[in-house]
Amino acid sequence: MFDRKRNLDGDHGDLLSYIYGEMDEQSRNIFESHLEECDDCAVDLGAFSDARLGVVEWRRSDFDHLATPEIVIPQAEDVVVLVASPAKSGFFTGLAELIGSVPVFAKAGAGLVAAALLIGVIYVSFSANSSQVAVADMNSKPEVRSQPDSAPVTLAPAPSSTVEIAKDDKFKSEDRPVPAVRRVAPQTKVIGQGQQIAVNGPKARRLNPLRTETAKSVAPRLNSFDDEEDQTLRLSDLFSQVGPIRQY
Amino acid sequence: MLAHLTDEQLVELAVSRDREAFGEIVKRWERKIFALCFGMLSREDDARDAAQETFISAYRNLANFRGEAKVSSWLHRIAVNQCLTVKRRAKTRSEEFLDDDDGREERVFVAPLHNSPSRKAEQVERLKLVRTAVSSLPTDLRQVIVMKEFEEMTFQEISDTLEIPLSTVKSRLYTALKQLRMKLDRVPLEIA
Repeated sequence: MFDRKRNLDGDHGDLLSYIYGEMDEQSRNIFESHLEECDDCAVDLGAFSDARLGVVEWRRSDFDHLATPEIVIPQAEDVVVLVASPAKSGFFTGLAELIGSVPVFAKAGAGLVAAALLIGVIYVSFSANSSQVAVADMNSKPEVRSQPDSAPVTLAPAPSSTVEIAKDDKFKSEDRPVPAVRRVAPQTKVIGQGQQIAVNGPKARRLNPLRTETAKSVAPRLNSFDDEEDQTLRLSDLFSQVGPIRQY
Repeated sequence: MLAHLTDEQLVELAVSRDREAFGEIVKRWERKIFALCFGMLSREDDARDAAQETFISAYRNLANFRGEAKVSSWLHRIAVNQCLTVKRRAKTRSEEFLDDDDGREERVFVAPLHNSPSRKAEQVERLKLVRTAVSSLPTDLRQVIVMKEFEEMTFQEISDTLEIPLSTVKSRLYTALKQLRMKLDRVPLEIA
């Protein structure tokens, strides 16, 4: 039988189930038989039905006339295809996946190792370059002689580091023959104020005083092949002034 | 003048064939009696007919009202009996016409016939109160109200959706309706 106390102080299930039509037929018959006898339950039923009716009227007034919005998912087929399609394969894709799967600390370690390797390569490359310059310097050893009347110096002295490397014994190789070259210092002739001419160069280029000043501050680039920019002494210039090189 | 009288005083006047007094009783209770009928019959047209029959029956039986119970209880008892009569008739009719209805009632709410301006103004005011009352409900209570009344979900569906026990769903709905009722009436709900 319907227990009013249980419904109002407990789970209230029977009253709400009856109002919303979710009570089975047997329970409904029991509840309605109780309603015939109990005025309080009838009043409660009316009160809750009234509250519910207010919500229903509100829904009907404010919402029922509204059209249901049309929900369109753009490019839904593309999404399905993307999900269903296999993953792209390739070296870079695999590399990206591999990097992505590596933990952060491993990435940091790999970055440090790569940076160390890069620094090492740069250092070795710089050292080899300097050694090559030193060897070339040792082989040519151009002497810069200025004119007695303090004409602009054409060649700047080699950097100290190059000189130190050149003094190293291992560069004084005995098994590597050094051609006997008669070194001729480039001579310039002043042809006007602020201008001079190289009188013993192959091209007898016209020198600009500014370029001469610049040449003082840089080391001779003996391994350069840029004739247009290089204003310094070259081995080819020297060789053009001497006879055939004796072969050892 | 009649508005200041109690229900019992109005009944005494109505027994003496004061139609205005009985009209005041109808005005006071028609909404609640209609709601009760709607709660029992689930169809507004049936509920309206049942409410009409309730007040006609009460008017005819004014002389039998002894004042031992409240007028509200008396009217509710008449309404319950009227609704049960309607349901029994409907059941008998469906059996006579071999209706294959499985007993689950169709829940249809038909637009009420509020034609008079005063009724419309009353309806507008009531809708305002409902909006305010529902908006002021706590989120968990309002959620159950919306799922039940707007989405027309069953208690079990709400329980599955919110992943809460079935008893909690009913308890929340009970509390929500109770608070709504209190806010709409602005008087405490009579729950013994």
